[in-house]
Amino acid sequence: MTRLMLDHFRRWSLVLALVAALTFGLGWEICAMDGKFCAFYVLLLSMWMGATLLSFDMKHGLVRTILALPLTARQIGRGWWFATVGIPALAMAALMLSGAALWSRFHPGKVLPASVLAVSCLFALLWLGNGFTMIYGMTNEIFGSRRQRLCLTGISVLSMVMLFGSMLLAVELFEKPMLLAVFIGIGLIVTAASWLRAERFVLGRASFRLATPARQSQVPGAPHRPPVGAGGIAYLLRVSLIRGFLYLAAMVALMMLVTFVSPVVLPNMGMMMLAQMGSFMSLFFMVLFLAMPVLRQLRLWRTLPISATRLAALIIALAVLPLIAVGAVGAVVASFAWGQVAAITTIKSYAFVLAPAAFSVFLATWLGTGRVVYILLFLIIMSCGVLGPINDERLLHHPIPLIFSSALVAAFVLLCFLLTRLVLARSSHPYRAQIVQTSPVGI
Amino acid sequence: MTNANAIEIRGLVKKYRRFQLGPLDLTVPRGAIYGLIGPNGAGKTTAIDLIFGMGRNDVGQIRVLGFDHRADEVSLKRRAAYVGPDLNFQVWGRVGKAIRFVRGFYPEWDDAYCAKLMKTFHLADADHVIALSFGARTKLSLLLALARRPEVLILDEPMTGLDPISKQQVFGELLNAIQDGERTVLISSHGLTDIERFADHIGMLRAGQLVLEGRTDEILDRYCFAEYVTRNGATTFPSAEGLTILNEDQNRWRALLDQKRVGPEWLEAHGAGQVSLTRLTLEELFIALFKEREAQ
Repeated sequence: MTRLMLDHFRRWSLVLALVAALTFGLGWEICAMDGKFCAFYVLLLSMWMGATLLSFDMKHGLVRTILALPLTARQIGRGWWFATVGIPALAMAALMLSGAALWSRFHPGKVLPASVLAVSCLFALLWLGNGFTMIYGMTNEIFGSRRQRLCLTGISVLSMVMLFGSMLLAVELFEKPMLLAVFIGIGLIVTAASWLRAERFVLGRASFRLATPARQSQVPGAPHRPPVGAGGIAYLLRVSLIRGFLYLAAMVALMMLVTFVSPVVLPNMGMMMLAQMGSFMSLFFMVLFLAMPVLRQLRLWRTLPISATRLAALIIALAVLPLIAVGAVGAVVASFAWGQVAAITTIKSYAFVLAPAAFSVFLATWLGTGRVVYILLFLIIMSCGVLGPINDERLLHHPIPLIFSSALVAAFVLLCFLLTRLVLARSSHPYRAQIVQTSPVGI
Repeated sequence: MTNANAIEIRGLVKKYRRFQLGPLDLTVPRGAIYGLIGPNGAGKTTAIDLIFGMGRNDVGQIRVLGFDHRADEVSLKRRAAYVGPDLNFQVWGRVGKAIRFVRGFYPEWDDAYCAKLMKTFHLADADHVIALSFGARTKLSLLLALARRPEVLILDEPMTGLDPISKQQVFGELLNAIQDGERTVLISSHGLTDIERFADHIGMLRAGQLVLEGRTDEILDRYCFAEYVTRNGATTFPSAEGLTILNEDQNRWRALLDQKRVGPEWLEAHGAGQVSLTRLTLEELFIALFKEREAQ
């Protein structure tokens, strides 16, 4: 078990070191900002350093390799739980407290927000546990009995509530004891589930693909009819764009809904949620959960009768078009709710994330979806998380002409398209790098 | 465009840091089943990838049905199909959706044939791709390639994960597909028994170089095992080009004989007695040839 944990830490040492530095800085910031918005950053950091890392390894076939070693499934599950939940939670807590202690040393007269720090440390554990459940929760039980499916659905719903609910209510979380108690309760249930079911989650993930033979085809008289309707790129675009748009729009709508029903109202909160948080979360979701899995088809696409130019355009379009669509709908909503300035700010916010989305897709096409890309995506998305609010503040006070910012973004997306085209046409690496094991979840 | 050869590769070179493919010249006649064989890392997949533009060759030319693989990329891919173990259809969720997506690219798509293949391969349109076994996913790849009625079918390790019955079905479909004499199959595989049985031409790659190419029957006629003893108990035997000593036990010898260069008469003339020749299987030839080169 210890070897498993050490192996995990050794392989991901670079990412973990980066997140450790940021967590230390967060401890300082929690004190400097008196805890405002800190919950959101605790969530982001715990998502980056938790089960997501192991998920990348699993995608490359780690589970089957590890299962062949003289270890029980329980040892593997629990070992990985410690490596991705237990120890990171302790480390995050220690680092945040160290950052806070340093802040306190430089500000001797000021009081440490001890309760916020304590809750942040607790939430680091709960979000890490939640991440473990969310990522490995997709087991063979989705094909299992009604009771198993019900149990799995229940845990999944709680995970989603924990993820989105606590994130969206980050501002009020530390000010509303009831709300805090509810989310701590949900978090504890989900974290306990992650510990108790670690073995089943990991094994389920390992055998997910093979455990359910093509049942329909075994049934005598099963329908062996080819599907009807037009296919090709138009079909791919239609399916991917509609799916991408619906996912992103639903997420942003949920965030807006929580803002509107929230009892605490901050100035510009709704607009900021739509423009700033909405665009950032859309970028995060689009890059990791929608664009990356699609890239695994690259070998198939390259054998189809389309040129490298069209293929590059298609790949970039799949990432940016849903963001544009959500931004456009968001701008209309903002225009009705808060006026023209809000609409323009929303457009600019969503335009801002097109550039990192296109660049992330280019990187993942070129280098695959391995550790290097994970680190780069981490840096890109975290930079956007930091730069986005600064950008929006600046837009509110010193508006940049829309045409200028749009042209700038369009030029950058075009550059990403050209780079993607170049690697698709010239390099063999993208087609080898995308060969990964199948996995039931996006990342 | 008409051409006597389905695939022509001339002077192909692709350099990597630790490996170089080529210079490679390879010819696949139209209507042939061509088996491309070689040990792991010989460059088979690299060569196939280059045909489909998955990477760019440093030097050389690839023509498929007369179409240049770079200048006429789309036309080439409209006529050639690829099947490999690394194709991923999972994002489509269900078999039917994957079929619908691929079908949209090919006006010649044959729905009736597709339905027949679905039945043969036990694939239903509602099957979850994620739930398919490895072999079933290979069958889906084959279905998508065959139902478009390609003029050239390029298969990279298509038999991996298939049970003997499925293998028979697949080869049956391949033979059906080429029976009009116009369609060509290039198949890269480690299943040498299957290749020997079905391929009428073979090419052997080793370390990026084509070491042997020709008709399967001619190659198997050309090489044979020779067992002999040396007269007067001599423990040495002269070496010659085309004679590869595989093992020796005192004065008993076993060698691989390239009859184009060295015949049994030559052995007898150089002191060999009780010479017996045995016909080789493709697998035995492969092992003997590559053992010899390993030793070198």
